[in-house]
Amino acid sequence: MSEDADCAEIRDLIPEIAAGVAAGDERARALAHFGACHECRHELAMTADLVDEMLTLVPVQEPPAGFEGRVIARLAPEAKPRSRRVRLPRRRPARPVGRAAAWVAATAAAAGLAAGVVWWQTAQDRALAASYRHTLEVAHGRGLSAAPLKSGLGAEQGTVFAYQGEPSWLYVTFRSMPQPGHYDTCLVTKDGRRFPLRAFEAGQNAYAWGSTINVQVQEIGTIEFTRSGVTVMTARF
Amino acid sequence: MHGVWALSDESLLAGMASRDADAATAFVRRYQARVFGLALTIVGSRSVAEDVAQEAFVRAWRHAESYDPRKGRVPAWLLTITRNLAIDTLRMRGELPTDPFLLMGSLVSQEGGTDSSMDYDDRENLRRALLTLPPEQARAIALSVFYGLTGKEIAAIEEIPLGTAKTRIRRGLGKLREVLGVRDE
Ligand SMILES: [Zn+2]
Repeated sequence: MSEDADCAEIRDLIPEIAAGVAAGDERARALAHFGACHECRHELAMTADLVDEMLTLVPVQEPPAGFEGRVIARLAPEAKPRSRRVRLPRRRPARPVGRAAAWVAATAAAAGLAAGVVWWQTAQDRALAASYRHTLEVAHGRGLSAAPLKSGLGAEQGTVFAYQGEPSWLYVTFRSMPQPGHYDTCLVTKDGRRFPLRAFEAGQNAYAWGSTINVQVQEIGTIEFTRSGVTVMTARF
Repeated sequence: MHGVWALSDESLLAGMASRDADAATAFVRRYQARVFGLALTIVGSRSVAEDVAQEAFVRAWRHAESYDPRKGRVPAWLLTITRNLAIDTLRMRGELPTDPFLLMGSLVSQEGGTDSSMDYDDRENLRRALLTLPPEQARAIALSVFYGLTGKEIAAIEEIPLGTAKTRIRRGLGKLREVLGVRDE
């Protein structure tokens, strides 16, 4: 029955739709179906409810001092003028900093935290990140490394992240789409051992590739992407 | 009662929609720890989390008018805005999620919020169910719900077929839904 087949296909999409991560075309297809199918609509509502509840389980955390005032300062220009005396709480004004300064502040503050995994966009950021990572490693016994993934001509095609954890993994994001096709991948350690990793099938929407790894991140020398026997992209750690 | 501080969420949003700064202040004060907590959980840095949390309140202020109570309660609406901003920030900065295990661990701690639509038993049941999920299902759910990764991306990270990634999420969510029992739409 085609209706059941439709339902099965839509049920498969519901978790991604409820989590807000479904692709536009899938979402559109599902919405058309929800309009006609009560059962699937109910299924979506229940799953969306669950996702909402999971968000509310996250522990509360007091924001940094002055947060409320900084938010209100951003809203104030759009607030309606008052006839009565203004009772906005007296707070420090918004930070008079540009994006670059905010970056530096973010870096300094983050260094003291059990923060996650951070990738730094510029050389300056990366220099800051070095000390940041050091702090993380000392404090938490694990770290993140990132290295640019470059083509044979030296063009930066993406970034390889190496995450030391349980399990450790590599994750590559591509800045420009690689040529579609089959790529063999290999991790080469600093002392020259080679570990083939799972192949990468580059397609139209291939913007990421990942693999778990069985070596320590600090042992990684290079990550190589090979096409038809030719190494076409390399990341050097 | 005492002015805006005792108003319902919906009334505060109505106040914000009419550009009332007192309503906005009360709203921020009521939700800042929740919004900042979620932002921090996702982005992992206090400074970046503050940027995300500020932006979430600015968006709530600007879109207060379009809040539709039939589509969910205010905390869920605001936290969804926060989550989406935090995910966008991670992606824009090319950052990877913090360890999904750590995140799931924080959910089962007892410090979560209290003003959801669930009663206490439901919350405890949901926490217990999270604890008993197979780790691979819990990870897949965390990567999807909190980090906004698609099934494809999860499959790539976890080095599993797409079908397996989707199955982990669907089975995991199914188990969590069971403990919430039957609730009407
Ligand atoms: Zn259906």
